[in-house]
Amino acid sequence: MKLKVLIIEDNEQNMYMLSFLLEKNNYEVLQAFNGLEGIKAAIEKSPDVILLDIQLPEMDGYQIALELRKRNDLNNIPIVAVTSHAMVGDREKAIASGATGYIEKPIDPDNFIKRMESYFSEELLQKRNKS
Amino acid sequence: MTLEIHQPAKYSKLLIKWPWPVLLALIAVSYYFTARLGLTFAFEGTNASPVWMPSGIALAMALLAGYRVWPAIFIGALMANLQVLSVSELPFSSAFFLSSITAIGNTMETIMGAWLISKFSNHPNPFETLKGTTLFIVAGALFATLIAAFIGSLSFCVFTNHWIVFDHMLLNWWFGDTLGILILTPIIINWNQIKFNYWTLAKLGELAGFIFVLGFTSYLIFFTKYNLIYLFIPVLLWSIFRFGKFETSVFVFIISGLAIWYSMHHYVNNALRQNESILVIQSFIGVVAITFLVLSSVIYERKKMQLSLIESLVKYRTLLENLPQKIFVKNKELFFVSCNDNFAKEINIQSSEIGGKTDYDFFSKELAEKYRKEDLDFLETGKPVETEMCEIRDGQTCWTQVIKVPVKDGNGSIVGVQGIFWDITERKLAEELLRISEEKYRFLFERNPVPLLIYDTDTLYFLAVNEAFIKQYGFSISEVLSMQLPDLYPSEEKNAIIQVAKSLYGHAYVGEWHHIRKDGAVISIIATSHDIDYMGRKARIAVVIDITDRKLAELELENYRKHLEKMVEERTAELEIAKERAESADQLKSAFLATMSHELRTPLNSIIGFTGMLLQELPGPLNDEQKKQLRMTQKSGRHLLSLINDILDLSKIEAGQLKLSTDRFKISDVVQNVIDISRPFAQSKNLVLTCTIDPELTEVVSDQMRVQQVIINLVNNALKFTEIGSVKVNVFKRDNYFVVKVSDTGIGIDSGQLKTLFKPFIQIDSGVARKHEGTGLGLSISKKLVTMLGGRVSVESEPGKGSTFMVELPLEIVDQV
Repeated sequence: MKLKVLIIEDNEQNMYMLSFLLEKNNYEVLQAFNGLEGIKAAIEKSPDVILLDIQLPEMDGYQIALELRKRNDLNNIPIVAVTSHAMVGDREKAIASGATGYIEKPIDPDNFIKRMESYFSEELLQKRNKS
Repeated sequence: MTLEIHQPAKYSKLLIKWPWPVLLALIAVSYYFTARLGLTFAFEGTNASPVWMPSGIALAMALLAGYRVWPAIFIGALMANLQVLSVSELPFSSAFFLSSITAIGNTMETIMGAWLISKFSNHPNPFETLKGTTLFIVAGALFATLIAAFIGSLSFCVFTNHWIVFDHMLLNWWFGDTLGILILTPIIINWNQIKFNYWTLAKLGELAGFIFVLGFTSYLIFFTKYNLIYLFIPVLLWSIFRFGKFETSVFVFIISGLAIWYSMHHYVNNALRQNESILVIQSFIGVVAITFLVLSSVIYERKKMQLSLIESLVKYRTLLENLPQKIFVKNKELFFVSCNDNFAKEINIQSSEIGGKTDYDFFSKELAEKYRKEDLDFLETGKPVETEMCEIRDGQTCWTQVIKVPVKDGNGSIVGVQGIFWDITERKLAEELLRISEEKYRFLFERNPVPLLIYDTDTLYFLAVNEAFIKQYGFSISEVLSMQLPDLYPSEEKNAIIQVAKSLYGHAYVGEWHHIRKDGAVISIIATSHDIDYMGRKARIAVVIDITDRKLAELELENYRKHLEKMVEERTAELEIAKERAESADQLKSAFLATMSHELRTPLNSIIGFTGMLLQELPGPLNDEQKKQLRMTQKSGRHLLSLINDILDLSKIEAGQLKLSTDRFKISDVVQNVIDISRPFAQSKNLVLTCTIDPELTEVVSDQMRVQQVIINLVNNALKFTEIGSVKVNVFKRDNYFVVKVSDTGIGIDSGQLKTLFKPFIQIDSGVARKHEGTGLGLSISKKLVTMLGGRVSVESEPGKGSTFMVELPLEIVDQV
């Protein structure tokens, strides 16, 4: 069974790129184009991992991370911030808000999957290997 | 010779020593007893005594002790009269009444006499002047006695109704009282003028001789049959000229007594003759007494005058001798008559030798002639002259002051010349010195470039000002001298300067004021003043310094200072605004950078991402040409990304937006990480990449990401610029620093290029076709980062052989904001 990745991203090109890349790497992709949609999908569709853009309209990535982390059932899901906010403190701010990891844009397709999976728990990795 | 110089207080002194009641009792008693004594001398069948001594005592006492003695006189007289009347057949009451009236008469006589004498004689002792003596004789002895005689005789005759004796009694009584006064009063009054120390042996001898002559004369008069009574006259003259007033009075008393005694005994059995002779005797005694009293006072006066004359002569002489001046007297013929010792000393003779000499005897011919000519000229005019003479003596200038006054005889005609002269060389010298000194000071005052003024302390009028003052203020001298000190001051300072000027006496003063010049200009001044005696006036001299320019300069300086302060304030405000603007600009910049970072990366995300995925052939297989072109696209995308990253980094650093995060980490991890990242690149260039890490060096506290960024940059540069050989990374500890040394065997850098190595956008060989990829910002950013981390970066290089970059960073950076 494929792992489910919820991508919360407002930019369609990025959404397409990440989706394509992940699907090609044997992931099932769930798409959300804003925060509310993302939270809703996270709760309803129980993804295995969430890729979270920071720069989003209305509700930004930090707020989303904080919201998601409030729920016990989502507590163990790896949330990887994917953002071009490469300023000092961005990473810290993302971690403080509840993100598990951080990958800066632009992504490198050559090692993106590898970096994302580095934030996976053992359990999740095993689950991934089985798929 | 005796000289009795009157001392007014002396007379009363003797008597005042007695207690007053005792004195009164004494007077009363002596009045009574002398009265009784007189009665024993009374002529046969009468109570009349030729000399009634109590009258003399009473008057003397009244003159010496004052009118207050009257009760004593009254009582004495009452007792005496009662005694007299006791022999008559009158009853006591009548006798007492009669005695009282008579006593009143006696008292009145004394008081009247004393009053008249003291009123008209200005001398307490009437016998020392002719006027006093005459007054005594006329008023005291002759006139006042008439009162008592008249009252006594009249009351007696009225009472006894025995008028036949009235005229005789009146005369007898009168004469008796007169003689008593004439004989006794002088003795008593002159009593305390006896001077015992003047009774020398010779004088006593003379006295003895005199007494002998007196006795002998008395014998001749009274005990021979010849009537030689006038012989007394030369004897008394002797007394007058050779003895004093008192002695003469005593001799007169003795002679009177002898005469009475003689007449009483000579006509002892002939009452008529007695009564006839009584008047003769009385007149004799009266004449003698009056004559000698008058003579004696005249002689006394003369003696006194003579004495004072001698005294003044002696004084004059002493004065002349003791005067420091040289004094001489010449007669009309210009012979010297006398001189004082100082003059004699001047011409080396004794003052006694001067008589009869002339100028020729003492001076050279020319000098003598000169002096004589001057004297002659003077004698012609006869007016006193005062001259100063200058002579050269022994080469020294000598000054002499000469005063010449005419000597006149009793008629006022000139009989000679008195010359007084003295040396005034010292005075002249002092005057000359004073003149020089004064001239000096005058010069200092007049020519002083600083305005000086002198004003009268009392009136505040100006007394003098100097040339500089005139020049400075524009007033003329005459204008200034009619002005007062406050006239120089503006109206608001006038009162103050008057107050100050009045309180200055005795103090030095310095003060700042304003003065008004003649042209109306007000100037600021500093005045310094002192007391000065100016031509005998209390004055003040002031030095006036114009400080207007200084004041203006001070004012200007003050204004300038204020202006400067204002400017600083303005500039500060401007800076404040600029700072605010800058700060807001910084915030804008910061936001801009954040936006740029995002906006620039987003499109690159697609470019790099899709290129990568295409090359992975995820969408489908690619031919070789496609792959080659896509790789070029990917490379350009990556280059663009690193370019953007570097620019953002640099911008952030320069905008102060780059924030460091410090944590503890293993430096070996970082270096290993760098090696891992860079290895593919080194391998692609066939370069050996080695790394040695000092095992002592473990954990450091710094910004891990930035440290890594710097090391990556250095390693990538080394790899980039090296074609053959190796790149070595060596990490070790040095003091409190860790050092990362990156050495390569590349192209190296020449010394000229080393200078600009760390400047942004500089890449060696930038002018030529760029052989090496890179933004040219790496070293610049690295240097800035290292500096921020508290370290430094250095480079050693030899072109063609390679370069060594060395970064030193603190083992532990102090956490900073």
